Amino acid sequence: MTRIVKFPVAPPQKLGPKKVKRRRKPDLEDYGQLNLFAQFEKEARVVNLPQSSNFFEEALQLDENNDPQAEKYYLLAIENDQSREDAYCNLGILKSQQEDFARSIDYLTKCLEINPRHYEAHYNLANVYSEMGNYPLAKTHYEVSIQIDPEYPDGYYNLGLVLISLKSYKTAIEVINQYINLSPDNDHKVASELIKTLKALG
Amino acid sequence: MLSDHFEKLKELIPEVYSHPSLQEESSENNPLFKVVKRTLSIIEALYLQNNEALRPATIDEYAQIIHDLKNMGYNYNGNTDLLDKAAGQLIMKAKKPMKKAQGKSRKSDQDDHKQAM
Repeated sequence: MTRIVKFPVAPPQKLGPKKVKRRRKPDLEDYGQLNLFAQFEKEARVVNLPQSSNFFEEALQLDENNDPQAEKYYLLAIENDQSREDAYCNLGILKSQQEDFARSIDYLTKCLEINPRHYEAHYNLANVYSEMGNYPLAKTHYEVSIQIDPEYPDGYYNLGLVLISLKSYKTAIEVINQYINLSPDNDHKVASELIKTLKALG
Repeated sequence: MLSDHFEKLKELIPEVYSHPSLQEESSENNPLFKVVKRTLSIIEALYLQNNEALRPATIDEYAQIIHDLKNMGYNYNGNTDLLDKAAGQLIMKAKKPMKKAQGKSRKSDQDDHKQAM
């Protein structure tokens, strides 16, 4: 009688990709005091990367929140050719707020170099000159800003104040009256008082 | 004529005219007033040498000191140019604020470009 003898064969090894299994981290406590000088891992920090598609919008938003980072983003906007003239203009405002008038004028004039009819740059430059006490230059830039946008009332009001400082009271009255015609009613009180005082001065 | 009239009044009512003036009343402070005047004249000299030398805040302070002196009964006219500057600065404090550019220039440029195409 024949007997079937089972041939001892090891099960075939599975070939193909091999998954990596998570290894248990060895607990150093198990090996004595090996963890005595172990350093703790630093916590990861989430950093907001700038959205390179719109540095100017980002800067404007930061500027509205008085965030000092705004300056950096305006400069990035300039580097990336995004609203360059407006970025220069707003940098001029930031520098003026820091009382760095020389750099403020530098930025505002760079804006005018790109666009000589930039309304805000002329208006802001006039504000910087009036802040510095240079009323003739302030007057010129307010006048230019009014030429560019005759519908914006604030230019007339500030020009009126400069004219008072230059003792041109009659012209100041005319200009402040134009401000009253263009501005909303709730802004008229101070301007009207100013006109009364100027008329009294003759 | 007026001086004669006042001389007569002085004789008639001497108690009114013998009243010391405010400046005389504060004569005990005169040395101090002289020191203040000298200090103010140093500021004026600095300004005359270089009219860019003084910062707006310094000009404000200068005008305030003269105003305070007048309120205390002293008479000091000060430098007219500096006082005018101080008045100008005070007026300009009421000015409307700066105006931020909103990026519209670029948008309007793009619009112009599209229209041209």
